[in-house]
Amino acid sequence: MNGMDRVLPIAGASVRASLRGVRLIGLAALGSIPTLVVLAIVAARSPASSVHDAAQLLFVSLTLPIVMTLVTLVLGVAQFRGEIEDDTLAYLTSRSVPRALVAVGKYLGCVAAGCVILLPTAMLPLAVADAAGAGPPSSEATIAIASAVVLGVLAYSAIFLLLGLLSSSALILGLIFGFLWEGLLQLLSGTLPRLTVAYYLHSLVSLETPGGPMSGYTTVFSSGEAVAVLLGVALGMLLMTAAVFRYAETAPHRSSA
Amino acid sequence: MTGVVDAQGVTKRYGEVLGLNGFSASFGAGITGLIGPNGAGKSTLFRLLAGQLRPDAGSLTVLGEPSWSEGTFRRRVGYCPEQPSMYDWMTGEEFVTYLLRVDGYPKSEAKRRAAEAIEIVGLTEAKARRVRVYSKGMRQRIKIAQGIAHKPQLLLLDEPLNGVDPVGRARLIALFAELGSSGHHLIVSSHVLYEVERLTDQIVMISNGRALAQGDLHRIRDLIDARPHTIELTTPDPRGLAKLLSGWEHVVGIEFVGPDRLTVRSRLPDAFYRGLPELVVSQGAEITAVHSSDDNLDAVFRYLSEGIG
Repeated sequence: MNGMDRVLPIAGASVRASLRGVRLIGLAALGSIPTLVVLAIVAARSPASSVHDAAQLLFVSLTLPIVMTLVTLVLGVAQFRGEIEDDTLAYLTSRSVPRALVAVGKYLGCVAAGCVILLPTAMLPLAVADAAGAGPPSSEATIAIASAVVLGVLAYSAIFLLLGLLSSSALILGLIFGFLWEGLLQLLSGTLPRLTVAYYLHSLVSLETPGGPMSGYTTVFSSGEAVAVLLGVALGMLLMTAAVFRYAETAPHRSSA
Repeated sequence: MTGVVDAQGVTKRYGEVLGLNGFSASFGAGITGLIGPNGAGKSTLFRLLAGQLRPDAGSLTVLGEPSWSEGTFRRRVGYCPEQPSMYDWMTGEEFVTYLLRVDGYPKSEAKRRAAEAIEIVGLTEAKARRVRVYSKGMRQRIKIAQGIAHKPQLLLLDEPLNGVDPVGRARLIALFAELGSSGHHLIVSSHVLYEVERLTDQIVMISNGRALAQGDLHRIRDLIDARPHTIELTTPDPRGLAKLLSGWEHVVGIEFVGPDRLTVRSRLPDAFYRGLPELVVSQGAEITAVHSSDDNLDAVFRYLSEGIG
């Protein structure tokens, strides 16, 4: 019996729990916004090349900074916080499974659910642009966008998973991180933007699509370095989550016993 | 001490609130009832035993292991929490199978054990239904199924009869007795002495986070029997039910407290609880929930607390 035999059922359950009911409808609606915007541009009879550029610009200006942040925040926080608040985490923590494996399982489930929502969110606008006569995106752009989605989901999910474990106000803290920290530091000069996940995602997309509408982001790193930083953030946060969870009391806070 | 569970001066705080306050008791083999009103510390003790919480002070061992530890020893413990929440979107069978797989059982073995446990609790026909459509009694039973499916030595049952209908209660009590006689150790919490009394005469009484008494069931019974016991019943036909109950000699008062609820005061609560399933089965009374007020025990616990203090 290896650890993955325990991790996979937890990941599978996390995916199912994440993608159901009102939450699924809300996330799908959020994920459809970039596609709807491109459809609106097509409906306005814009030139095909404009549609093409708009679809890619929407990825760096809407999908990455807003949709991805919100989707991973909702999914990441729900993994632990939701189960702590409704007390269902007791079913897992009272079992013989090591808590570190529970953390890994929930993380993988969160990442899978995030990719299920965000890959179509990122790719459908390009498909719409193609169907409108703008032609398919270059393979470099496709790969860059898909990589940025997967790496972004890996990094943000790990951060929000930890937040959900640590704080009952994780959603608010996540919004502050996602929009104030990530957003404001991006606007500053110097090395401060490097303290954001978004910096490395933008770097990756820009470096991998030279000359395209998504290029032009100023970065001092190579693609490989950006990937390494994003993976490092994901792994570091996951290890921290596992360590915290190992020693965390997981009953909801109650004044009456 | 060498009990199934040994607690020595266990204290657990929730900020300023004391969940347990120097709780000391030893739970032996077989079935033990943990009796106390709401807020006494029963659920805190169960959460500590289940490894969800860590004692702030004192020592707590479960089957010889510190309660705050993870690993394979947890396979020797089954836990049925009090709270009604479950993975409602799973079917009953998926719920039990999932937890077995998390416990490390291969898929086929997990399915086999889940089916066996679900059969024991009498939910085989409903196993393919989503947990969200289960009645309270069915939810309790599926929780018990997940607790026994891995065949633990010790089963922790936190208020397992709360809100269950009379027939369901009788079935669950019979099931617990059967588990006890088949070699499991059970710790069953309740705020209704009469429920636990039908299972065991080993009692640990808890109030304000401290163990007040252990064993000595008869003295407690005498104290409680001296007072009329109040029971709230939920039924779609309160008038019809009141008519049936008014014929019972030990019923000294009936009060309608809502469109589908009435409270009954009985001088012989034991006889009352014994008679309820019969009322449902042979006279067709429809009772959807039974709730025993904490008030019944409060006076007794106050008396005991003052005696100790």
